Amino acid sequence: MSRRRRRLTPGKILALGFQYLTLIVASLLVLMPLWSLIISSFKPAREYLDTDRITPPRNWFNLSNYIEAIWPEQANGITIGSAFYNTGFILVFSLLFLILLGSSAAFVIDRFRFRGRGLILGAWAVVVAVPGILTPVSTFQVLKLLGLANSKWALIVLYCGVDIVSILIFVQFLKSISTEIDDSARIEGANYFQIFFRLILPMLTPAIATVVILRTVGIYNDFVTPYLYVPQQQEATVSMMLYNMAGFNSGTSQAVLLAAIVLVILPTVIGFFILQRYIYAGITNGSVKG
Amino acid sequence: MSFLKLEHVSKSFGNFKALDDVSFEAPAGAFVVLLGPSGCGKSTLLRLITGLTEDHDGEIHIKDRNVTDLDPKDRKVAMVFQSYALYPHLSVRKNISFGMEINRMPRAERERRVAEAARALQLEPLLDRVPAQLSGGQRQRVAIGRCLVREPDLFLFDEPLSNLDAKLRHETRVELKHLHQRLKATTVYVTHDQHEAMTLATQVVLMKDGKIVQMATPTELYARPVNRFAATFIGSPAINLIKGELGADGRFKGAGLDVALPQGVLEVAPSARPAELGLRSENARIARDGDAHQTIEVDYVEPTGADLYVNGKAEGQDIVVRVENTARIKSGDKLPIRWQLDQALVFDAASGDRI
Repeated sequence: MSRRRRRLTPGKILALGFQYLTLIVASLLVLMPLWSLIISSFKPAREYLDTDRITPPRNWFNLSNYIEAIWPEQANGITIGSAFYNTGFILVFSLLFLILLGSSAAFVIDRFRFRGRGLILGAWAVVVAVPGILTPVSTFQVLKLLGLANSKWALIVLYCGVDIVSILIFVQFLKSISTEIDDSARIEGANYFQIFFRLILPMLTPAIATVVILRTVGIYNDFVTPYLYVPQQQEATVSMMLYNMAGFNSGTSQAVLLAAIVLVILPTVIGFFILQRYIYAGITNGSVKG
Repeated sequence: MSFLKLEHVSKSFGNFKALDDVSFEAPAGAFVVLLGPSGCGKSTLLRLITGLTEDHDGEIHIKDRNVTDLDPKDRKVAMVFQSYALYPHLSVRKNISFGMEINRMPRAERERRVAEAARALQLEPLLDRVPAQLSGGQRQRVAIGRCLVREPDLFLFDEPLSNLDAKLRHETRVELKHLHQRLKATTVYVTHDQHEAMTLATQVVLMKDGKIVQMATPTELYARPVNRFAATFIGSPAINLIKGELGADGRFKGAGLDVALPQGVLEVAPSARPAELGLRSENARIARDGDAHQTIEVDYVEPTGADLYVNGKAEGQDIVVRVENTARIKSGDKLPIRWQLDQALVFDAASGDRI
């Protein structure tokens, strides 16, 4: 049997060409700044100033900028290592509390009918509707009252406290878990804590993955929240550190800054390649169920 | 001595009366089927027996214990849910032993019971799988296994076959019957399927609108339904109800029928009133030698293999009769039929009660 080939008409060639052209332009738009960033991070200060931003470096193995970014000659603000530690600390605790609080709140909201339930749901709707960027003064006062201003914990509280969307993702997912599971466990003698921790929480794994992925990206990239509430140098997150390095009186050269940026992007890129599959699933989960 | 006893149980949800003064008793080893159309309160009744639904009037006794105010876990009941409610992230073994783990039963005893249940239900090769890797029938067996290991006083089933396809449903029904015969466990089983009720039950509780319509053995329910609802709910095709008049002389006239009702058909002395004559499709044969009670005009014929269901009309009233497949009958024929009148049921046209 001979396979029939579809004939390419000029019209089809034109359409295909157009498709490729748009894809190439779109890719270039995204990749050019990255290319520029990476090549420049390898250029010594002198070469950086003399060449343009798309010419490859003369020496691809010049790591002086990276060394300077990681171990600066004179301590000026926070090191990149400490910034990674801060961000990691904030990420781990935010996600931990967010998952525990969010899923248990969702469990109570979905499985129990109690007085004030409607009120809570209504309050959440209001919180979602009001952008956090509009309330910095009062938020700061609350943090101050709690004695958290200028501390990493302020960010942790903000990240897990104000994240209604994650709770709603949990609620949506819980709705798909039959209440017969709860009933069955109750007949078998399980109390609500056992039902939650031994059955519901493990069954929420896909929702947890979704929340972790969405929130990790959000928290890692967040600049505004730490900028507003935790300006102190020693508590700086990676985004704050970059901001400080770019500052007027930081004394850091542009090329070193670029090297630092590459270092900050790196974990995200590696994470993306490892978790690609889950991230796509997670985002669609979030969009369909959240 | 009654093993399960419900006394004047009522339950309302807001203004809706889901159960209205329900009382019944069942002896040890009984297979009680709660039967009725959806919304009749049978599932609510089951949940009241488990204790999952609270706040009701009346009392529930299981094995001489008043369990009315006990938590579900203290009632010594086990339940197979409609969805089976297996824990999807746990292996079959863990699913079965979950309750025992929660109740801190020693490991050795746990393992002994799991092994025993697995043997009884042929689950041994499946113990390390998770529910997603099981077929519908296997999941059902796991759900039953989870009940067995608890060694409960009472087994409860909530429409357990409704998620299975027709063939598997039949097989599982047979399996359940075997299991009950072997274990002699007292069981309450909820269904809206009359076949399940007829084949499984030792005792059927027919319900409608939150009330018990009739409580009887399957045979009795079929032969002696208390009213029109019970008569039509049981039996397939549905019983023929011929509208007409009952005379004070005990004769019934209607739809071309004019017959004297044999002794024993009427429970009370005949009095003249509008009535309906209930005749099941299998209580008819094709008349011979001019002994016909009635002639029906054939609408269409449904062959089922062994038999033919002849759907026809007599003076505008629908009638279905079952005849042997050897008969050659086609649409438009005039078919003389003779009824087995001693099997007839007579209902008061107004109240629907059998008279």
